[in-house]
Amino acid sequence: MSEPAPRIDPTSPADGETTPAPLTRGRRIDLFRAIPGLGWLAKRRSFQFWVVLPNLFLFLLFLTAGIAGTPVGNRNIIIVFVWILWWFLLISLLVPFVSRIWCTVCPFPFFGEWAQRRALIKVRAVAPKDRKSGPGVVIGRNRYFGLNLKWPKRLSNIWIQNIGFLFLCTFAALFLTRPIVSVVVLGSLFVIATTLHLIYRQRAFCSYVCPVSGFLSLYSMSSTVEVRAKDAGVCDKCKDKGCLAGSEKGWGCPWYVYPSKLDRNNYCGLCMECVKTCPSDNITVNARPFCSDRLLKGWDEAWKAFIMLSLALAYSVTFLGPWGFIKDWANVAEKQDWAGFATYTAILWATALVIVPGIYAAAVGLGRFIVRKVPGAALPFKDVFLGFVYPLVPLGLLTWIAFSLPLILVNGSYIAMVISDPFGFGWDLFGTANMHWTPVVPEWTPYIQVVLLLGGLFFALRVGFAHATRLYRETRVALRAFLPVGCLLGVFVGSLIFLYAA
Amino acid sequence: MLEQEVDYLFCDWCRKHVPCHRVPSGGWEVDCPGCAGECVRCDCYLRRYCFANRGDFPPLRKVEGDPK
Repeated sequence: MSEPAPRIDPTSPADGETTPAPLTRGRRIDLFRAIPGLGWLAKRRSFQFWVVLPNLFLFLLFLTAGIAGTPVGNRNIIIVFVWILWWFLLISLLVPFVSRIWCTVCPFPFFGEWAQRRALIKVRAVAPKDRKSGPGVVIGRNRYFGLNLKWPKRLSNIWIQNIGFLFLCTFAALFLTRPIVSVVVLGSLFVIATTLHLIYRQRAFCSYVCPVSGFLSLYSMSSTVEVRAKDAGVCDKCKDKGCLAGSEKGWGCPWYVYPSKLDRNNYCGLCMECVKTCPSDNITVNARPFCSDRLLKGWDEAWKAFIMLSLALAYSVTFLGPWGFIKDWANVAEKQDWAGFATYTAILWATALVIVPGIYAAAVGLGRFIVRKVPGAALPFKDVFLGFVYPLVPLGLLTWIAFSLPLILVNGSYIAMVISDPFGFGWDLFGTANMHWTPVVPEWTPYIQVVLLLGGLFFALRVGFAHATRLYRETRVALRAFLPVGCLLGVFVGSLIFLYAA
Repeated sequence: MLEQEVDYLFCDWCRKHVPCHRVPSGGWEVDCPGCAGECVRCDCYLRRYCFANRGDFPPLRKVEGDPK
């Protein structure tokens, strides 16, 4: 098959082409140079296998405990470890500080990827003469198995993840308390991941379907690490393109990103394959300032930010607020109040998908209206909207941390209990099974939450104003355009502080 | 300014002339200034030309007209 040759289009402009002003990127520290042995570790072919394997065993233990263990939630390891410990570590430490490191160790794609590659550690590299022969499908320089279909272009976004996460979170009160429901949720995701790996190429499940991946994608933008090319010039001259095509040293990027041009964390799963395949040793892991990736690139990503913020608000009201009837509505399995649950679901979905985005769009529109007469300020709505939604990334993340903090402080003692008795069978493996429930510094929790929320507001206002300045270029105009959104963010944080402190 | 001996495409999306390079193994690498490396969700006007549309990554063979 011959490809069309590029040509010069003489009717198109060459001069006066404009480039958007770049956002501040901040400083970077090459962690492969700063931490001895880290680069060596990342280049081991067995690296990912050895970090996933223990997690896989833990996951299978959790599923077994969910099926065979006690139905009492706070005495079953699947509830305590997954929804208290894992969730807190994920949202409070892993995402902000190590980006999508969870995707590196996630067990969901283990069997699917094994089936695709028919290898756990080694690489199936294909010599040019063997491309047309042999089993499986050759992509780049690697051989894969399974159907290897391309994921539909229309679904190449995170809308499935958005809706999937919202759907799962609607039933949060169920799977946060009932081990068997957690088994159904996690087991289903495991089966879906494996099945999609057999049908579609590489990490289609992770990129487009996994509900956890959706918010990891969004909040990893704020993370303090990134995988990037050291020198884009080296990539420009590279004829090998092993990062994309694969090589005998590793698989082509399973996430379909091109590290040379990569400027966001969103869709990089930190699998380290590009570190292995780069023939010029030009890929590294950098440490960087908080919130270094600052561009949302589509409505799907913006709505992910709205959904996450709305859920943090809804959960705070439901589980931490003083209104018991809302908790009863959410907990349909226990209360059997189906009308209440329907009301709760309708309010939750309307808030996340319509009301919060609608209020936000009105604030953005008001800002555009205020600066409408300024020459050059008539920017497309979408550009301004996506820029002004970005502040919801740091704010949403800090809000989630503020919400999750009481989970671990108040319920953390359950972790010690279930370690000694993971199934709730009455064991006492480490002598901690009969510990008393001991909340940690409960009197300090609201103060820590307030600090977190104010920190989130600070970052939100700072990055929001940076976006306004990038868009409008002039400080005074930027300030006026961002003012309504800034006020809205302030009202949101004020409301949450009132809720937590009340 | 456009340079001699360089192939270009004009990208309507970015309003840019985009340099294109023939990769020795075949296919064109489109050096698109709008490329963010996210082939996973690329909707670029130039995507069918870009080597990074990896499903169609060029085969590993010499192609007539490749640079030395």
